[in-house]
Amino acid sequence: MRRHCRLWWPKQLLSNKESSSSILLGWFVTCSPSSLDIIAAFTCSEVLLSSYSPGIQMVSGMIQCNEGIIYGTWGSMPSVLEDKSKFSVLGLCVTDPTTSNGLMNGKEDDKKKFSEYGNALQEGGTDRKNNSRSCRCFQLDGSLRKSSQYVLGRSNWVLVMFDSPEQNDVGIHRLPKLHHIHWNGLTMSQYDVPVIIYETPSYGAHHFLLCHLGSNEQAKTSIKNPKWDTIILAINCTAAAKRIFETHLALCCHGAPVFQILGFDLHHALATLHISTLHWFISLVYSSQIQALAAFWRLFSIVDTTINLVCPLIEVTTISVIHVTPYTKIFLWLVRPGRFPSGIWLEIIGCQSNSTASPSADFTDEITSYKESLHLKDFNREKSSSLVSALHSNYLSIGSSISTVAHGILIGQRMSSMRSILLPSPMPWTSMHYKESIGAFVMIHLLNAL
Amino acid sequence: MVIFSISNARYTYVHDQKYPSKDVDIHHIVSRRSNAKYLVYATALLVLACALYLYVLKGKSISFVYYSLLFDIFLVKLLLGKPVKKESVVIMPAFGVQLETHYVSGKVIRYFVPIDNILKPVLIECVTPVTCYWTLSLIIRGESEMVLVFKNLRPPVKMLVHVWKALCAATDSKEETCTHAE
Repeated sequence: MRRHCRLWWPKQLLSNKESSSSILLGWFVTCSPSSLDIIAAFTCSEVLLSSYSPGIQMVSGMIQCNEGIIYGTWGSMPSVLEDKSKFSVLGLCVTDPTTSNGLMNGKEDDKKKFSEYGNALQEGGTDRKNNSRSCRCFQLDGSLRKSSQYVLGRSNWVLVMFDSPEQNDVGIHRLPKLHHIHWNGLTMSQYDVPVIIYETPSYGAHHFLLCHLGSNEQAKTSIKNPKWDTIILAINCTAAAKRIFETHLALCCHGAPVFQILGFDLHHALATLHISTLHWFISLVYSSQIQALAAFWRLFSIVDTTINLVCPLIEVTTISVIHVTPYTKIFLWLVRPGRFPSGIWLEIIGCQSNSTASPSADFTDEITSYKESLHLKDFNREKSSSLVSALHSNYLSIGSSISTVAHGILIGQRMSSMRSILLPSPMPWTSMHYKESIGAFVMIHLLNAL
Repeated sequence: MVIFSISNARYTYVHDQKYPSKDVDIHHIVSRRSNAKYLVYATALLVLACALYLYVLKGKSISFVYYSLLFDIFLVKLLLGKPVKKESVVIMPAFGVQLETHYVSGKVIRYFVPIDNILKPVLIECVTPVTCYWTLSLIIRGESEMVLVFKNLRPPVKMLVHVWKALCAATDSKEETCTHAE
């Protein structure tokens, strides 16, 4: 069975200087039987985890504490993401060159074990735990054996290695490479897993949004939710997951008193109070503007009876436009366009060739025949390589936004779709922080006063 | 490394393959405007020279030169106004299809479609009262409109066929032709 596997890797981990093996945390997204997306959120150092729990000496206690942290982090994720995939330990990251060399030497044995496990699974008499324990990577290094307690007994986990700059062709310092996957008792070695590097989204700075064109309501109800939405949602939750994980780690390991939790409630209450005050103030400003505008138009209706006929229509239209226009968000959009993405695109960094690939000839001549290109395609198919790309966001400019709105109006789209261009989706990670709200509100108020 | 290319008077099709085809398959449609550019510039210079001649020797008003300048600007803008340099289709079988529009100014507009959202690439013959041309579009899941692969350029069908075949291979679509018998 060949699964289509992709590895999503945060950019911050490329510059990580950890020298020991780390525990990889994130999401496994399997929305279809033939594909597997490994979304790495962050790593947790085994040394760091040990130093946080000086009082817990037993291995089972450490695992129990780890499970509690994982469960707490999982319970805090959006429900849409929880239905598709759960935040969990993904596997191990190996950074030791000697361990990498040992793993490289053992790759042929992994192939044999893969076929053996396949046969054993067909017979149906295989124990999953024994398969995990009999994996060769546990017998190589002491630190790796120590870290294996976090993945021992799990049915799904991966081992990720890093290529040195001399080994990889792309030039990235710590490029991850998926060594093998343990999936439901099977051990699979896959050499051409593409790697996608993404910048971890942060509140108020940037996030990713999969762009959907003006889809009509009838088609939307019958849409089977594509798995890319789950992937993008998981990537947008990486920063939140890390923050919640660290909070739960501190609470669980240090036995923090209860007032810290009350302190989070107070912070939440203060934020809510600020936003409520802001909304009340904005409503007051809107009311004043509406009253002044109504008086202004009434004055004109006294002067001219012709205007009096058109006055109610213009008044209603103008007031509606004033109500509908989200001034704060327009200002934020102009100042920080990164908060309003309009799609994603992939920048191809290069192709990472694997060490087992045979060296290819250097084609210096330009081939113009189509048959020869077909032959070259067949030759390239034998070569083992994996694509390395970076995930980016598209941003709408003013001209693009206006043309999109005009196009929507001309083809008879509903007015609500115009809001989706200016307003971000109501997701928790894009909630506006109260400091930015107050700052933007003050700026807009000053502009209106001029 | 360029593998395969077709050229005609207006466009050049390039099948770029600097990466393995199972990972990335890039197709370019490059706009060729060198000859037309020189012709337009020569015409503009000729009109300006005539206007200057009439002003200097025949005593015409200076506004005639201004009108000629405006006409030249209008002519250049009309004939060379399309700033698109090339349009590219980047097919990544593990991810999707990325449509790129490269402008002369260096700006690039990209639109990425996940591979699971592409229902079918279609070659459609468009008939208008004055002409007939082919377009390559993608039928996307959940969208009411088809997405044009080449929005600004209009390459001939012999170039579109290669891109269409590559898209069909990436999306596991059958290369079938549909003839309306009605």
